[in-house]
Amino acid sequence: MSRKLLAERIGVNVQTVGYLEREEYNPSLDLAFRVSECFELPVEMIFSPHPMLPLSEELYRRKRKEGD
Amino acid sequence: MSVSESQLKRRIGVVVNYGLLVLTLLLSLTGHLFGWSVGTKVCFCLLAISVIVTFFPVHIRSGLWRLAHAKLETLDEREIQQNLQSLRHAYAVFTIASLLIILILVVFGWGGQTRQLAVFWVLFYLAHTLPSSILAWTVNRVPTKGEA
Repeated sequence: MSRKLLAERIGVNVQTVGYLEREEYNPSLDLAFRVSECFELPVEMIFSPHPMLPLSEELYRRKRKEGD
Repeated sequence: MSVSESQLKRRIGVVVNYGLLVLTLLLSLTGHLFGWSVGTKVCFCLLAISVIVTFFPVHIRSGLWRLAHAKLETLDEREIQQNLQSLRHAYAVFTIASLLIILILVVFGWGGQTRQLAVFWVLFYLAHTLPSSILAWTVNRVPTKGEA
C-alpha cells in the first residue's frame, strides 16, 4: 500500500504517514485505531512502546527458542 | 534537494530576514541619538525594503506562511499539534522581544514619531511572522499547495 493511499484511508496528510513510519510522531488513540482498522490488525500489532525488531531477527530468535 | 538542505535554506532565510529587521530597528533607535542624516534615512529605507523583499521567498514562497495560517479543518492532528506548538513558542519569543524593545525605549527615550512607528511595525511584523519562522525550525518538509 502506498503512503498516499494509506493517508487517504486514515484521513491524514501524506507527511503524517512518513512521520508515523519514522516513529517521529505518536498518534492519538483515534488515529491508531483507524490505522489498525485499515490493516485489519490489532492495534498492538502496529503500535508498541518498544522498537520493532527486523523480521529476520525476530525469526532467528523464534528458531533459537524452538531449538532450546 | 534533500529535506535537510531545504530546511537549512529556510532557516538561513529566516535568520537573514530577522537580521535585516533588527538592523532596521537599531538604525531607527540610533537615528534619534545621532540625528537623521540623508545617509541614515537612505539606509533605513533600503533596510526596510529589503525586509519586505526577503519576506516573500522566506515566508510566502516556502509555504511556511500558508502552513502557519491554515484553517484547523484543513490540517490533520499532527499538523494541528505542530501549529499550536509554534504559536506557543511564538508567544514566548514575542513577549521577550516586546519587553526588550520597551526596556530599550525606556532607557534611551521614546524618541520621535519615526522611531515609534518603526517599533510598531517591527512588533506588528514579529507578531505575524514568528509562528511561521518557528515552523522553519520544526518542520522537516513543508507540504506543497496541493498536499496541504
